[in-house]
Amino acid sequence: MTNTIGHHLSTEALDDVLIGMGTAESESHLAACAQCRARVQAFGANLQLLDETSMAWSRVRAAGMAEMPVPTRARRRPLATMGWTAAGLAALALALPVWQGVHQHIDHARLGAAPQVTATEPDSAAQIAADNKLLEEIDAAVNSNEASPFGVILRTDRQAARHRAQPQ
Amino acid sequence: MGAYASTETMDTFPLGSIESRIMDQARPATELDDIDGLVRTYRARILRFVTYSTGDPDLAETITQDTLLRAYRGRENFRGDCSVSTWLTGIAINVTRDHMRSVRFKFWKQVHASSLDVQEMASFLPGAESSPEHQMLAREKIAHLHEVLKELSPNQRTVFAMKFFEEIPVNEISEMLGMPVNTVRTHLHRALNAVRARMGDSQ
Repeated sequence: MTNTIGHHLSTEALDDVLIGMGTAESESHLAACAQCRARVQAFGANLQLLDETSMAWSRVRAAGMAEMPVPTRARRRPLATMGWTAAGLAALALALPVWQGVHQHIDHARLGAAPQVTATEPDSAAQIAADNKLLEEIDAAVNSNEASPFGVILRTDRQAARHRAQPQ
Repeated sequence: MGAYASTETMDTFPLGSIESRIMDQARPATELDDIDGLVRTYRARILRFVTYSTGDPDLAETITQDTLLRAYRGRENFRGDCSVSTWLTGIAINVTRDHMRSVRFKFWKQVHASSLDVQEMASFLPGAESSPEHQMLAREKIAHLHEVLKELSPNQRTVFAMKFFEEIPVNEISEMLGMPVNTVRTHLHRALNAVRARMGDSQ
């Protein structure tokens, strides 16, 4: 490919120089040819003008932009991190016994057995006698024919209502 | 893939993975660890690149924020085999692609699209001490260049901005965009031809 038209660089060769892909032949021509060098410099001057103007515009525009939503993860919030960690640990401390209780209940229900209670000492004879007495009293109270105060109230109300309903 | 593998694989490596932690231990502290400094140093640069790439300054602001956040969160993936600026440009390209792919973006783009205000940008011309005639000529040039860039395809605009604003070499652009070097070269040639056609001999 020839890089020159007549005594000067072709447009393509000149553009290659401008984009930084000029051949050694083009570069040596530029070094010797003032006219071609002037064309490159004219383009460079226009680009520099655009570069400076656009950068000045951009600086002003960027200065007016909203604050960056700075990631706060690692910045000046160690207390917040500690707080969240403490809250998490507290929740775990509360949740663990509940979880254990639920699982124990589920296990016993599945096995059909009462929860195992680890007895430390056997009940004394006196304790057994007292328990039996209590159970007898409860049994007597449940089976007695004595009217309960609630029953009295209800019966009284019903009788009164019946009395009101009957004509004199 | 070399230098840009980190930007492409960033989403596939969960943060906190064993690889990341090993890399984090090995990686010396860089400017990426200071998000305020990162924003201060690179936000304007990324904003400009994305604005030219998308042609939409409002969308560019969102993409710029996303880019910086993603860079900060994935900073352990930065291997230091390219400049931070180039690495950020690579992330910005990925974030832009993500935005462009989203259905929401397509809908929003139809409803509302802001475009770069050439007159507004031209008001930032440097060299206020130069003559009014010179200022007027410079404004015209800026307006012409913007018209040219506006007419380029998104790919051509992106390549143009990478090359002439970010000064990234063609072979690196090729790597970052996953495009053959010749395709990048063709995009640049077309962009330069368009500039030449619009600006005539003055370019």
